[in-house]
Amino acid sequence: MGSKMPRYKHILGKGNVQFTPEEEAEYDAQAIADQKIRDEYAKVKYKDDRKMAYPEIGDQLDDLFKQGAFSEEMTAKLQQVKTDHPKPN
Amino acid sequence: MASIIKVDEIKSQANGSAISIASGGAVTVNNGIADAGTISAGTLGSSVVVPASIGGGEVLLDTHTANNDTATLEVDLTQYTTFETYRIRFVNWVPATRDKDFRMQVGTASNSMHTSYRTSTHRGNFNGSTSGDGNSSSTSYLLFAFGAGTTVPPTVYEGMCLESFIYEPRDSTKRTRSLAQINLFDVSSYTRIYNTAGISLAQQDDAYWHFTWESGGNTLTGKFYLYGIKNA
Repeated sequence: MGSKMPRYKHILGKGNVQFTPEEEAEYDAQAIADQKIRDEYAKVKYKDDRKMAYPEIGDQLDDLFKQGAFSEEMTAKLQQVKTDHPKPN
Repeated sequence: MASIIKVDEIKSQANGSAISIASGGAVTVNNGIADAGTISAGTLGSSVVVPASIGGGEVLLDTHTANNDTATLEVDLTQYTTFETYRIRFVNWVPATRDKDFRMQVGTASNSMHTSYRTSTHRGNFNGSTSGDGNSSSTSYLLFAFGAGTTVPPTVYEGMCLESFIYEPRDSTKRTRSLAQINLFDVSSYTRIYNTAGISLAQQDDAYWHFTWESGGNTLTGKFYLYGIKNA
């Protein structure tokens, strides 16, 4: 395996400068921390995905009001969202 | 037949020096131009000062075009004239790897970025059929953007356009503040709007700024502009 490619920064008006070993270590540590956050988020991401995909709350309430319970059509839409965005095991 | 006058200096009747002419021909008007009439051609040099009251209120200090060779864009304000307020603009700023957060920190030196902020973001998204909105916050960055979802990272996106004001970063008695609007766009034809406001908790001269993508990834393409805004 080859060694890791060095990182560079661009200082506006001055040009590109290679990272110092300290900067490389700092960015590596940050990348590990970022990945931990991402891993945690992956466990609950389905909630956000479902939230964005569900029909508008107003439409749901309207359906509920008119039918006394969710209509078959609305129930199918809600179920489809859950199916499309399953909770991770 | 053309006439030629060779002189070094032209004076007024009262002996005041009006125009000096260098050996190479450069002209110096020693006591100003009372009325230039209409200047119909030529280019103003970069050191010409345009008063804020006639349209020179904003000065383009520098630009940078990204080409996938750097992980951090760093601004060192000590090399420019100091302004109270700065404006920054990113146009089509695209990470080399998809799905990355964008971040800004400020500090007193390149290797001394401050890490405590209070930044609040209101965000919305729309892809033609699905829309959503919400709020997010950060204690680690003066300015940040991430994809739709919750307070931590994002779904896929490709790049962004950003307009932001940075207030009084060089005033060591003030906290640096930011106000930004960001348009994050992605491969799924989502556009995401971020309205974000942040403050650094430190009162210090934040002459150095870092712009980075999450995990230290490079910027694939994009253009950056730095402006200084004068007090009128």
